Amino acid sequence: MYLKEVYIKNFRSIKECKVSLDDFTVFIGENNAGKTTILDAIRIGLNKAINRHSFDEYDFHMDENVNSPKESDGIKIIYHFEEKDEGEWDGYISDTFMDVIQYLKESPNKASVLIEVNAIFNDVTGDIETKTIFLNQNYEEITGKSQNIVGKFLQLTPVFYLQALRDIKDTFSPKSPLWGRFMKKVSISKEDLEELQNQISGLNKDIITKDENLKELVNELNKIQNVMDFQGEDIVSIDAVPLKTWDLLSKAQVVINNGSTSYNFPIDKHGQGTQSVAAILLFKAYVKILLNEMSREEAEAILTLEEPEAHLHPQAVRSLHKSIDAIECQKIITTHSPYFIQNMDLKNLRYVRKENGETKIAKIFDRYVFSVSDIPEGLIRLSSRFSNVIEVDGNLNIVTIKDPINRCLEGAIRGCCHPSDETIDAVIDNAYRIFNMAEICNLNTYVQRSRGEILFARKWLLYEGQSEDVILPYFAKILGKDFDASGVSGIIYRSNGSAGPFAKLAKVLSIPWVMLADNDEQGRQTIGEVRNCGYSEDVISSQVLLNSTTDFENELATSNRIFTDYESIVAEEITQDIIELKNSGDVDEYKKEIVKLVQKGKVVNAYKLLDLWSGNALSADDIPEVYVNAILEVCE
Amino acid sequence: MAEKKYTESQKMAIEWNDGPVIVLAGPGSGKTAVLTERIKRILLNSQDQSFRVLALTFTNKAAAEMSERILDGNQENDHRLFIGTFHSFCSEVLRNHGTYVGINSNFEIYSSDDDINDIISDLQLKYNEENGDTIPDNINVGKAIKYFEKHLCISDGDLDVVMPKTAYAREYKWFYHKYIEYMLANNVLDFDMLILMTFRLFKENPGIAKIYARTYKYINIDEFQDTNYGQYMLIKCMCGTKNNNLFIVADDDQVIYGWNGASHKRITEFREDYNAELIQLNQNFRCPKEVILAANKLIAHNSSRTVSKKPLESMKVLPEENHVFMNSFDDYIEEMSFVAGLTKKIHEENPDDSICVIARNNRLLETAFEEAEKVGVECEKSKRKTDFETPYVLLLYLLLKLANHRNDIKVLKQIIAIFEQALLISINLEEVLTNAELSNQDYMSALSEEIKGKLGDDNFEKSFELELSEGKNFISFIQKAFDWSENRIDQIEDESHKEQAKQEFLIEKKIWTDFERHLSYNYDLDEITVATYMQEFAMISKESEPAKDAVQFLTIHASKGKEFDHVILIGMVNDELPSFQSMKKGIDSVEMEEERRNCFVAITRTQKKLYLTYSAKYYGWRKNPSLFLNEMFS
Repeated sequence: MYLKEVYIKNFRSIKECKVSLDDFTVFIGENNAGKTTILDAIRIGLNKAINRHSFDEYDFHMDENVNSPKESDGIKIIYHFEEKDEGEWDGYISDTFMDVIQYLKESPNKASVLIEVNAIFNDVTGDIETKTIFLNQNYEEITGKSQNIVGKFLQLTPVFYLQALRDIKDTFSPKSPLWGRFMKKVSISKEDLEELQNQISGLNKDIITKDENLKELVNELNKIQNVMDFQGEDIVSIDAVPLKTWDLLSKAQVVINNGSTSYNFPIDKHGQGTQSVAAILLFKAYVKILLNEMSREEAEAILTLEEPEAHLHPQAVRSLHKSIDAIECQKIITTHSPYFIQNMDLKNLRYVRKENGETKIAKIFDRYVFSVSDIPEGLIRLSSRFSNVIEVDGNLNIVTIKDPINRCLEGAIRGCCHPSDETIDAVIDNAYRIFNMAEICNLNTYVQRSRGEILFARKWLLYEGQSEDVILPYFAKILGKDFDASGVSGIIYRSNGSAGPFAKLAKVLSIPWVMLADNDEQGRQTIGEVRNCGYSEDVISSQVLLNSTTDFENELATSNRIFTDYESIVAEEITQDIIELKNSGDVDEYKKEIVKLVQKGKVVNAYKLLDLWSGNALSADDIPEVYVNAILEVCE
Repeated sequence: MAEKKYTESQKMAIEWNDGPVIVLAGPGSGKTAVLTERIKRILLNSQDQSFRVLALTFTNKAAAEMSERILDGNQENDHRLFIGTFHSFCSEVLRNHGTYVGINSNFEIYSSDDDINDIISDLQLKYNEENGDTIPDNINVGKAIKYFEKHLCISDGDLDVVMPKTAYAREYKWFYHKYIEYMLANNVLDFDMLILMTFRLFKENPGIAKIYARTYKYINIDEFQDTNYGQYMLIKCMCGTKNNNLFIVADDDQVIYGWNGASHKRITEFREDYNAELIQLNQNFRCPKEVILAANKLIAHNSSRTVSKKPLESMKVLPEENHVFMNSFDDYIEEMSFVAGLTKKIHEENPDDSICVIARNNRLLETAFEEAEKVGVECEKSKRKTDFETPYVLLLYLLLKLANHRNDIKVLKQIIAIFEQALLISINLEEVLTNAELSNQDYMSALSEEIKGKLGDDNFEKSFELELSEGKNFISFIQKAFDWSENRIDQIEDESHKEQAKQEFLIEKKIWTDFERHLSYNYDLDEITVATYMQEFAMISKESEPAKDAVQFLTIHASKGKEFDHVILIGMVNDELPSFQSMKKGIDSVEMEEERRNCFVAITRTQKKLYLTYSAKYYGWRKNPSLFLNEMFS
């Protein structure tokens, strides 16, 4: 059944969070951010619900206030299952779970079931007590519903799991939970089996008789009859091949012919990438067979996969994405590969991050829905004027914001809501975070397709052009910093649309950032874009750092040392007129002309500077202050 | 499956599958058998399917009896069958989905009038305060609230529609709104509110109604003639257009709950609303031929009956002898002493036969009962008990109540009173209250601390703490509490006192264990919560089954659905049966027709012999023989 949302509390690194899920959800984020914890919350939690197994001490979230499970107020995982389409559950599902089916306010036409698995530490007994209950629409327990239904319910939602770092030998060994069980499911009809057995013994006989030594050996061994009292003929034989099918099957292995030779190589002799794909395909086949065997056709699996991209080249990763996408069930996946997410719907992406030791999850959304106890008059008026942005359902008291708001609309919304409404700040904040269609297309073009890796960064440094891209990492080095080690991705915003979408994406995904902007009209425009993402003036003034001049090259020219270097790299192009300027004492004009020369070939000249500096390093003092500040801030 | 022993029309009913049908079942026509056979058949033929069957009955007793017949000792019903009264069905729905109408699943049911009267008294004080005036004497708030509840009123608009002609409409509205408000705010429901709130739930949330309608693919309603407006609307609202597999069993000649809103019109309404087919079970397997003859003649005088209704057909074969007897007396005292002697005589001649004395009202029945007791006949009166009476069982009931509402001071005080006065175990109320406050505990926990070392049984005290107070396993606590109680009763020194205490205890314990067994048909006792347990318990009458060979004294209403070898119908005069009120309304009145049905119900309880008695004088007033006598035997 379709798992729409999971609420996780006090589970491992997660103190409290809500994870919404799609048909195909992909979790990205740094190592150790909590991606596996989310997968485990789904997988282990649901399994515990079935088996009534308990959690262990290490499953409890600990922090500075909670040092042991005793002090925890308990693990709680709530699974919200929902019909995909109205009426999907009609029949067996709705009959069997009638007592616990709820209609939630946010989607009043679709049936939902809420299951909670919770665990608390019992002080008296010292045990961890795990309980599974159904909840009503207000998230209170529906009392007295039998474990029997829990079991029936979860049978409809088997969770399959394939973990990262697949060792192919284990995956395809008879003991492997996949391959082994797969082989056990092989069933051959009795007649076929007899026929096969005959063929195998025939084959065996052939092998033995074709080799003189073996024949001799068998003859010798048959003399055992002379010593021992055995009856019959052919008492001793040699099994050159396993004679029983189960024995044969246990030796079964997957071989792949890659087309370059006429030999089939066992899978573990192939490259890691092939192995990885093979494991996933095996998993896929296994799930399909197991699902077919489930007693109820209503059953729909949830697939959880960790880092399926391991060891694969970019094209293979993209192709893997397609092949997983094609599996007909709900998929929940973690990845570290920008290629894996290249072709997916950005709204299905979940960005996992750790903040003060707690796992946080963010996603990109194209609408924001909230419910209120009473819809203010003003909001209804507003919704009729800005019907493309705000939609109000007066019957259900639900407000939908469909397009990002701007400063002006923020004022209007605040104006018509009651001043005491505490939630208005959250509403406004979320309304700013909405991505509309055009913005999502931009993200797709400028981020997903070309710079997917920035989604894995810890921090962003945003700047205008390519020269910065070349020079700033060098400055960082001089300052004793390293962008890569600090998890910083540099982003050129000028040639990738504009700064606004990045600032917004950073906000939605809570990625800390620093932006460099020119002190000119364009720079002010950039600040305007940032402001329209709902950032406060405080944030803008501390995170958007302005040059003292109009652009990067001019700013560098403020450093005497760098200006000298400018003169040397464009030396050949300096005309007599320019030298005249210098001689006539018009230093400012002279400098301008030199910078102009540098700007004629910005990127090439940037590399020339690097070349110069590799022989004669800059000192920290030579770096303009604004870049020092930006680098220190972003590498903090 | 239907076997040969069933008649054609019975078979037709048993094998009825889809679509609405009304089974008009006369008294003694085997309707319960038909109903249970049909349900059994449907469940058996659909084991691979997931739909459920709903059977609604008018009393808990009927529900329990039907469960037992269907499950036939096999308790594994796979949760595909719910048998219960309208009220218990509603409480189950509200437990699952009550939040949609503001009801939390651990709601409490007020079953006693005292609780409700307390609320009304408080409201009256509030009214006086708000209005600076006392409410008019002649307005009956309690009755009005019931009336509005039964008519499913929520809004002022609803109230306007059903408001009788009165100068106090405003006052009635005020009280009704305040009452409902109070009940919901305290998560408490009365019986009529169970129906009202479930109706509202279905009406306001068609999605939820749809699930119930679809899942309960087959809905059976027994004694449909007794359903009132609210109950019928509830069914209609739930089923909507999604389900019309309604199997209705009714007899328009047995409508005697007019005061509760039952009406023969409901049967007509149902037939019209659903275009239902009609099956008549008019063959009577219970009564002597003469009684059937009399019943047919009597009821033919009623105009408000189903048009094509067939007369009863007697199927019972009895030895050729007199089966109907009539005796008249000068004064009712004489009549009563004759009845006393008659019961004694019948009992002596037929010790295995059941005997019942039936009267239209309680006053006459009371006199007959006293007379019979005087001559040494073992007698039982029917009376509805909403509470237990023996100290140990009552104590246990109250303890569960406290476990459910852990800070209910009223219940705590009652518990302590029983401990001190009946069990001579001294518990200090002040101490419990102080401890609760000091250690920030609820009263249940504080009490469980307080009783330590006072109950004389370490294991029981441990169970008190863990299983009851901490809620680990209250079902197991109940068992231990019974054992503990029995032990203590066994230690009473005075032999006769001990015997009596034990007997009374065992009677109430049986009511309890019967309740628990019936509960297990619909619920899994391993998982049931105290809240659900107490909700269901609140709806159960706590009276015991009559002793097997005792003569029963029942009003006509209490005799409904029962049968006896010998029925003695007393006070057969005008102003008694038919009642004084109906006589006043006139011979053609609706009330008179209901009296006639009362008489019809009374005589058709008879399995072997019917005795009718009347006198010329009652309480000093001259009375004429009942006009029904003439209608029956002329």
